[in-house]
Amino acid sequence: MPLLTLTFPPTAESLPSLRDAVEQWSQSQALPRSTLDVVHLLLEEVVGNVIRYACREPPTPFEVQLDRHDGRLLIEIRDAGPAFDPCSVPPPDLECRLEDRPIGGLGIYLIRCLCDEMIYQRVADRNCLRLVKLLPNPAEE
Amino acid sequence: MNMQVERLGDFCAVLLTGRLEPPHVEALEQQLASVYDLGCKWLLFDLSGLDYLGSLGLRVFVAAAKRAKLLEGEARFCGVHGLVKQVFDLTRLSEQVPLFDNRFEAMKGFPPTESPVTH
Repeated sequence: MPLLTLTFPPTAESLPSLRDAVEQWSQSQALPRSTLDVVHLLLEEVVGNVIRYACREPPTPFEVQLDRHDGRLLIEIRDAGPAFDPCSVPPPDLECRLEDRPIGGLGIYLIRCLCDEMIYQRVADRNCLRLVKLLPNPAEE
Repeated sequence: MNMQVERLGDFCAVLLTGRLEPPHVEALEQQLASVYDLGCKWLLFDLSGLDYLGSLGLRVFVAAAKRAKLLEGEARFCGVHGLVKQVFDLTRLSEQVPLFDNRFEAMKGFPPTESPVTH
């Protein structure tokens, strides 16, 4: 199956461009809509953080790679921002009352919940985050 | 994403359809800020046509629910389904805000009669 590799500048406009590119690629992959929406969400959360925090000063492009192998969708996001391991972020307190609940801070938690594997590596001064999403068995779709 | 807002006194219904993606969040926040300025504290979010929600969009709903509660009002949600429901469940927002199957169910006794409604 073909590999999709994309490079974007760290601007808000890159998110819709990335979404469109992934949407187009997914058509050749026959991904179920539900899986594709999870992929969009994973990318929105990771890339949103990269754009907001990682690649701002100086602005440096980030890369997104998608591949499909043995019933697994592999998503890799690489940026040249300061080292940041999302796997080290503690889970949010979801037990608190609504009035005490922070408004945000759930992006990394959602990534953890919605992917099947999340691996962070710092390679050659770059953050490399690899997410694995198991694809549903076609018989179960 | 399409947004339709209907206000009646301090009650406001917000119908969202499509995908609530990051570029739409600011417009939704601005629209809600304008109804907040008019004193709305009883909110109904009809999400039966909403197919996508990320954490940025979720912030808007958490903020709306917190604000309504602070003002002794309430934010209700109806028609939450698919990925949007998954996000509500994973973040346990579905345990903290009232969810209804549809708008008809959500509107039963809402807003409460003690809340003065301008006709």
